[in-house]
Amino acid sequence: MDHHERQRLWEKYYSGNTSALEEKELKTLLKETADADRLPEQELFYLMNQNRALTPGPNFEESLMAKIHLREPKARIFSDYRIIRKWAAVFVMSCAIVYAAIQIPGTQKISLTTQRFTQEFQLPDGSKVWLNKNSTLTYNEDFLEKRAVQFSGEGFFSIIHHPSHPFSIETEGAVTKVLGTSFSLRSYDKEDSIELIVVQGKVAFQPNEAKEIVISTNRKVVYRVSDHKSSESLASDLNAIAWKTHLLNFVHSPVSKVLNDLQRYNGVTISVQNENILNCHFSGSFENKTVEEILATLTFSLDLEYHKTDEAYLLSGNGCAPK
Amino acid sequence: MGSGDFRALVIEHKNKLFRLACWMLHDESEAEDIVQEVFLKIWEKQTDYAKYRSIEAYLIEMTKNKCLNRIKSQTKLVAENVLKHMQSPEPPADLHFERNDELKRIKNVIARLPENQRVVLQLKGVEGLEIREISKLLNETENNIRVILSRARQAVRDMYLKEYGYGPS
Repeated sequence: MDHHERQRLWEKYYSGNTSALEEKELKTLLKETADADRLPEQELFYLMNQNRALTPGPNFEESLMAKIHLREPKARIFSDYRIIRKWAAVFVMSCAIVYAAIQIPGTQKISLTTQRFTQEFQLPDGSKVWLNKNSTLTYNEDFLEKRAVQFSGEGFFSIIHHPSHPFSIETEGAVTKVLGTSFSLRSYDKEDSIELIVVQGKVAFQPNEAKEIVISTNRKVVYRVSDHKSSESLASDLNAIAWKTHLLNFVHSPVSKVLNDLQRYNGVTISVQNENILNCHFSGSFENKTVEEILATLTFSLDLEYHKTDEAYLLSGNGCAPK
Repeated sequence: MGSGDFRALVIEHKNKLFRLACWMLHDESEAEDIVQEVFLKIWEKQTDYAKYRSIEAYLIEMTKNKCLNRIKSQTKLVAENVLKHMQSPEPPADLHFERNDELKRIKNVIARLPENQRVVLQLKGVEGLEIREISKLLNETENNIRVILSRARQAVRDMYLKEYGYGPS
């Protein structure tokens, strides 16, 4: 680029009309040529670069949650003696959580429902459940006498141990019984399979049409409702519950797996322009990162590019030769 | 809003709000404080965010305002600093060896830009947003944003050269 062209680019910059690409060009230009007259720009660009790399400390969320906890408002109680009453708390981004209390003669049912976001709930016995998007958990008013819930969707359960009160979860096609443990259960009505991952403890999984299976720590079972087949295996990979833990871990994983886990994590669609991309391998750990941040790292390390189109991402680039 | 939604919101926006607050305050621990206050306010629904075009616009506006309030309470300190710098401009130093000292100057310059110029400069230069996106976030016309950006860039250069004495020969 000659002096004249440089001058013209700077003029464009100063009129506020440069594109992101042209500003990148200017950045390279500042790095390569030591132009004494460009000292203010050099410093400004350096400061911007520095700012771009900043992130809040690792305890940011923890201390925010602690502050919130100190100011937590009292729990609200929902009840109604008519048929159905619904609250639709529509938050700006149309995230809605609907609490419904249904009156049935004798017992009242309480439903916890999520739609577009995940949410944590505490049950009356102190057990905790994290519901992934589009999930519903229902229990009776007399829950403390009989710890039984009906469930559809995906949830992570941390159940308080109580020997004389086993906890049971009824889903379409199976019942899962537990004493005290943490596990993840996925059973969306539109999906044929039920998946149970036990993080800690022991869980009895009872399909309606097959014999009971006991799953212990670090093991999982996938059960197909249509043909009553179940397969049990080691749950070495906890990426499946990243929606709850916000942790994703890849160790020399094929890109096909990485994309699969990412899609499951956030419900986005990711496709590749070139099948060779799926031959590449990738390693990395992510905590509390957005899909876009992870894709940025992935594409950077594999020399690919990603583009966003509506709700989907498209990866392009040369990829890797098949082995 | 449930804690899950809130958490998703925090995760999605914390980094860029933190960068903006750092850009305004040049102090990471204060910036973290500000961003937490912003999220706390959202959680407690103290303000009516429905009138904003998007939650992001609301978060940015609130971060900006909280930073400005913080700055106002420290104005005296900053003014003293600037004065000191004006009285004894440091000799030109090799940029590569004295980055940190040099950056103090550019920080001082940016600190004296009008608030909107400061914010637009960051959103465009650091976050890489398009004029159109910034115009939506700040609720200004695209043309206005372009004018603000142009003035901000020009002002940085002019002030810097005037203050530190290496005007174009």
